[in-house]
Amino acid sequence: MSPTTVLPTVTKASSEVLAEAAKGTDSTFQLLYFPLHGRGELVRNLLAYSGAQWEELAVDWQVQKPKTPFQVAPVVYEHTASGSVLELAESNAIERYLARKYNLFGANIWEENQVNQYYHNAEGLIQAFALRVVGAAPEARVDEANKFYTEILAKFVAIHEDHLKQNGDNGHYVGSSTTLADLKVAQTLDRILLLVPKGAQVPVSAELTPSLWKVKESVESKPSYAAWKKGQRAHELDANTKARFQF
Amino acid sequence: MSATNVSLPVPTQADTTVLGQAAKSTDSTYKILYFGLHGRGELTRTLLAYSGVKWEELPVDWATQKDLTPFKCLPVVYETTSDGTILELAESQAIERYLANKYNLYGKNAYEAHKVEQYFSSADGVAQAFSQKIIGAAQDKRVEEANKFYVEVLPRCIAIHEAHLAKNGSNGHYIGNSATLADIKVANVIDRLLFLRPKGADEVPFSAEKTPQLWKVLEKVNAHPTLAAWKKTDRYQELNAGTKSMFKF
Repeated sequence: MSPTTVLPTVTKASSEVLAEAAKGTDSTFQLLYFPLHGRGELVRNLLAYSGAQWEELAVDWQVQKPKTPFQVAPVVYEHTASGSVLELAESNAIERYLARKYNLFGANIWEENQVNQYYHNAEGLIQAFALRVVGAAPEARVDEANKFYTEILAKFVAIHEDHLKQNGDNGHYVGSSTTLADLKVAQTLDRILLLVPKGAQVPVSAELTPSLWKVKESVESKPSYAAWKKGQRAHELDANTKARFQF
Repeated sequence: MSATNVSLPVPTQADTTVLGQAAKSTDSTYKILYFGLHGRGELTRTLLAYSGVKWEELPVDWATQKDLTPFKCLPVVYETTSDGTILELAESQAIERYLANKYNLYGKNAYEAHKVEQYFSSADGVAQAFSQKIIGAAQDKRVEEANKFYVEVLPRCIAIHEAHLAKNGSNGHYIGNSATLADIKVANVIDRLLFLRPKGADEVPFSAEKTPQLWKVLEKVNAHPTLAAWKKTDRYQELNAGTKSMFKF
């Protein structure tokens, strides 16, 4: 049966009731996002990583848009075990919510801050990439990409390789377990590795960036995440993303 | 003439359990390292002022300090906790969330925290679009870009936020009955848009009449005593001037 375009009815209740319902890790999820990576990629990755049952809603944006909290996607609908439907919006807010729920946000306020720090630094990198490389005219892209790799990416790599080594080079940014920081950086690298202009070469690999590569591999070693990335839908999203930005 | 002391505090080296314990301290003092304009330091300074903690600014000597910072960018905040631990906080949005969390500006539970982040993110999107399209525009294009922004981008966001605020009871808050980071962030964005209106551009479409709910949020945040006091200082006026000068407004 093909996915529905009908949005679930969100439970109206006090924040205490909703917060109580939200505590469960046995919720199921429905994601509303367009069929490319965009601002949905890390949300999809987190849903896959969590091992939760989730599905995608079909998009009919003109009809659905006014029903979303900010008239943008992604939106995630959480169906809790107790029967409540919670509406989650704004990609980075959804990501943090899922990270908290599935123990991917560190063990205390300090670790949470560390996770956020690496998250935002990676966000800065991907924004620069979007502006300079994806945003460049196709004929200028190889030049812009090479500039990006040597001027911006190289600095990021040096700083992050250093931080990761200081944390014990264990494939994690914070402590010895996976956090949102690891997932965010892995997704950031995946995006840069996916959108390569013909003729350019990304200086990111097991040899060139060993500690960062370890983070990527560590995230990918989670079976539910690996299965998602190998699946047909993930490949469709790769292809659609490349097509959308003419790569 | 003596040189300004531009040395930075040395963060305590310890594992994250120890640092996590130290970070629970709410009677910490803070030092912020950021340039002489609002920029990415504005909301951090606002939150330090709002929370009523003791804080001061460190003198900037970027050439010598850059390599001593975690990501070679600013702001960085050094927190000295009640037991003497020094914590180094970097990345403006991480610092803002940390302070909000610590000073009860993050909602009462994980669901409210999510709502705070929703509104923060939505407002941040507007701020980034403004930064790219208007601050980033060539000077001779600014009036045109600003007028477009006021008509094409702002009204839809304003309508969405006015509706959310009305649904929450038209009480000048995004969540429940008390201030959160959402209120403070939105107030900060509105202040920024009002402050950086290019000479000759149309009126920025925020006012008590046009945007009553958002105006209430703005007024409530700015009426907070310690924040109001900060905004009256000479330093704050310097930062205003530094901002306009940096971006040639």
